[in-house]
Amino acid sequence: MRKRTWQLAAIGLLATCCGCGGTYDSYVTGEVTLDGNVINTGTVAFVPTAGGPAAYALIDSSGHYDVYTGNERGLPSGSYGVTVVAREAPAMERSETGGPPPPGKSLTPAWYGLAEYSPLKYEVESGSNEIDLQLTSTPPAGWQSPQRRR
Amino acid sequence: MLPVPRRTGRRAAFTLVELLVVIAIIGVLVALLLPAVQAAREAARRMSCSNNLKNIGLACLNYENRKKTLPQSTSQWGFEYRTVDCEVSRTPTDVSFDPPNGYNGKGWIVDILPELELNNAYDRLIAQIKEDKSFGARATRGSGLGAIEVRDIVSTQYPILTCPTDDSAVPSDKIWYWDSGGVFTGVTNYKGCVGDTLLSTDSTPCSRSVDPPQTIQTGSPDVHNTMSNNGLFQRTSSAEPIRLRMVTDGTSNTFMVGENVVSQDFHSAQFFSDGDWATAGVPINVFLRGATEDDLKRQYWQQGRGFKSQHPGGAQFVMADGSVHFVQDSISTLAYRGLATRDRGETVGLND
Repeated sequence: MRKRTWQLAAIGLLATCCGCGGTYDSYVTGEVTLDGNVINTGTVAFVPTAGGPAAYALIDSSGHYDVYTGNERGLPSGSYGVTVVAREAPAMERSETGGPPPPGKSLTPAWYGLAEYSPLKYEVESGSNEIDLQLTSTPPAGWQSPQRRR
Repeated sequence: MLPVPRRTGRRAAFTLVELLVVIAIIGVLVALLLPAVQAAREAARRMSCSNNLKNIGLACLNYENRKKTLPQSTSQWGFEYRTVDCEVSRTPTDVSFDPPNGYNGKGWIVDILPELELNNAYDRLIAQIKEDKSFGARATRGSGLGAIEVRDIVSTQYPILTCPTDDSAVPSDKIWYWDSGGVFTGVTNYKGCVGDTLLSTDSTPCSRSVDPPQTIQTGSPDVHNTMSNNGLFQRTSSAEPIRLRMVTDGTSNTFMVGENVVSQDFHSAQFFSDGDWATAGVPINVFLRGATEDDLKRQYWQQGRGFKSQHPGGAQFVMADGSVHFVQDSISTLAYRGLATRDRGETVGLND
């Protein structure tokens, strides 16, 4: 009986040590699709609408993402605008001048790349959130390509 | 003959249960202590890193005192010397500039080597640049900074430019322009703050096309194609030197130099090259987990140009007044960008 007590105490102690939570109260994972087709490259940003840190994720080869803020998993709960840009791999190995190659053609429509135009807006709740980013190639109402300022 | 003393009763020994209990207690103690020891070691490494930053900050301020401008970089690309104001004039102004030592691709860190008591390295690098004015930030060309005469200097990993927490801060042969020819170049964990300008993907001066996690800001010029950056260091600063009196946001509210992680930067980690800057247009501590070396080099190199560190929870910066601060990951992105600019008039401080 005494042995059982010891074991329980040890397990309890270990649980207390390992049970430290993360810095942020929410986690967001999900899948990225464009017109139902999986997007398996590119980056995602969660831009807070009311101050706070912007969170980000890389889309993996199966089309899934997992949001980080800085070097830690998760993000503070709240409302976010989401931007997504995925590109084809750069066509060239290097640019003509020897620098990095020009970026590949964008696979995602332009309005998803700008926080002020992106129709993707989500309320991130405390705890785990499963948010599938379903992009469509139909532009949102009133969309105009931003003028190139020069 | 004396009688041999004999033990009586039970033989003195530990039972298995007693031994197990002792081992369990020691195990629990070690498990409790180990994270504390690791944290203490990391705290020491962080302090050493903050000491490096302090020295670099003071070196920059001493240089400014002596030369009346902050340390300068000379871009390897002459055609990019132009100023543009996206909100007002919208017209690029070409700056007529003929650098006395050519477009040599020298970074600002070279300028402060004498202040860091590395005079010999400085003298030899500058002598080489003066003798051979071609752009040479490329080992295979063997000219300028790539010349064999200064190979021993560019291959050195200087402790003052190395954060002890970053295991990847060792001479590398994988960084752009030097990734063929088997030459290892010394790297820097410390990068000058270029401001909060963007790295655009369509190579116009006022681009509105950027990739996440860069957060767009209307009217922000492109960091690569203009010299209109709003921080303290840019690679074209020898054409338009930046002075401390231009820091109207206040020197204690403006980043001067911050941290970088070499394993995330295959683009410009060399300490001597004009790429020794980073931008707050990319949020703090963005790590592109799962991206391969080739991805980081060719596809996501723009997202890799932000400040970051391996210290848990944030990264350190030296401000333009020479004070060193730890900035947390959870800093508001707008406050972070505000701290990076020198004259945009944001009312933000380190605690926002």
